[in-house]
Amino acid sequence: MSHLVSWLPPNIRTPIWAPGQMGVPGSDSHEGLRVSVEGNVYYVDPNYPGATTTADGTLPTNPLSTVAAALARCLPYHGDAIAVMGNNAWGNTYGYGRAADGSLLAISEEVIVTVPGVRIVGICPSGANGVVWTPASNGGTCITVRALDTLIEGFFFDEGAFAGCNAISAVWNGTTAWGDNLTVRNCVFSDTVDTGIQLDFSFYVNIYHCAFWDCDAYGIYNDPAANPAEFCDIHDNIFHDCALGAIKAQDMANSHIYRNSVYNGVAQSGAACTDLGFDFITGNDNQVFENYFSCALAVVFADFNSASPTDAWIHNMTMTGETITNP
Amino acid sequence: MIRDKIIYMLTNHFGVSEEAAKKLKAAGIDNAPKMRTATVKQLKDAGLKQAEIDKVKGKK
Repeated sequence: MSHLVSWLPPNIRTPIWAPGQMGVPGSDSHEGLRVSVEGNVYYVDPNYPGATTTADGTLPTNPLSTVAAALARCLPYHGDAIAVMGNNAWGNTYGYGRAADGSLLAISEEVIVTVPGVRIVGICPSGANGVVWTPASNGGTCITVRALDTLIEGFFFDEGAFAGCNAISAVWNGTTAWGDNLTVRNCVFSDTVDTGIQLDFSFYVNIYHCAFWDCDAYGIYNDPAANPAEFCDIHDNIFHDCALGAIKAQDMANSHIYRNSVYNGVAQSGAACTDLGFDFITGNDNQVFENYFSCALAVVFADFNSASPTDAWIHNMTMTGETITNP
Repeated sequence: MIRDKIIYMLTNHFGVSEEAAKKLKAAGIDNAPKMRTATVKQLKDAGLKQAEIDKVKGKK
């Protein structure tokens, strides 16, 4: 999905529009239009010769070796971005690529984002699925978001050399640190990932253009024993055969979920598949529309999904027709 | 977010009044798991009416 990353704000200094316009202060700035006044771009590339955690990091030729080191440089709402360079982990861990091509190190870290307003971007110049990111321990969480306004895009999450992986967790710390206003887009969650994105008391979360391929647990998960996620915008994702459910967010409220493709082999076969699709049963006021489910309209759709009494499920499609009622 | 997020969650998800939500929060019942395990006495002490208590108990 990294081919969908649009590398523009927050830091690009575009050339000036014109030699300047009389009467318009700033139009002739030699620094051009600056989307962010103070922000820096920190480059991370563990494969670059000599990369360290103490490098300057603001030049691609003097990059930092870890995302954690880059996060430590970021300041709240400074407009900082972390550009994580592509790697050839495919040639290392998986054997699909060629080891001789080098750049074999994946990002193998478990970071906690505590600085608000940071953009973390996987940069791949090609059609790659994303910059490969694995945890650093069995079952570890790659990115825990405990700050507002974080943007994550362009990564391919995988367990790598470890057993089990939770990719992104936007989880309230129980006091004053929230993972609200998170955007996750253009990311791939591999078939070795347990849970793609976990939410807890996360409001205003945007998740789009992501693919959750055969995740071992959930694509998106909000623990029923935790706090509800609300005001989420979840659209244009692929949920393919997530073993325990595509979206299990029973307390989800005031959210819109649309244009997602949801395949599940059990549902497709017509067998019992209780809540392996979308489960919002104890939430409220969600609008769920134009999603495609790999199940029959009669009986299976209502087994595959659960709606809250105040949800509105509109124009969702199944293998045997359009649904016009809540499941 | 302009409002108190915990107060909002208690009112929206559990259907209690804002006044009761403030009392609950002050009593330390300040998240969904605590609401789910709160005793009827705790809810009554926070000023919840019986209908509100029933609604809370009906929520997972």
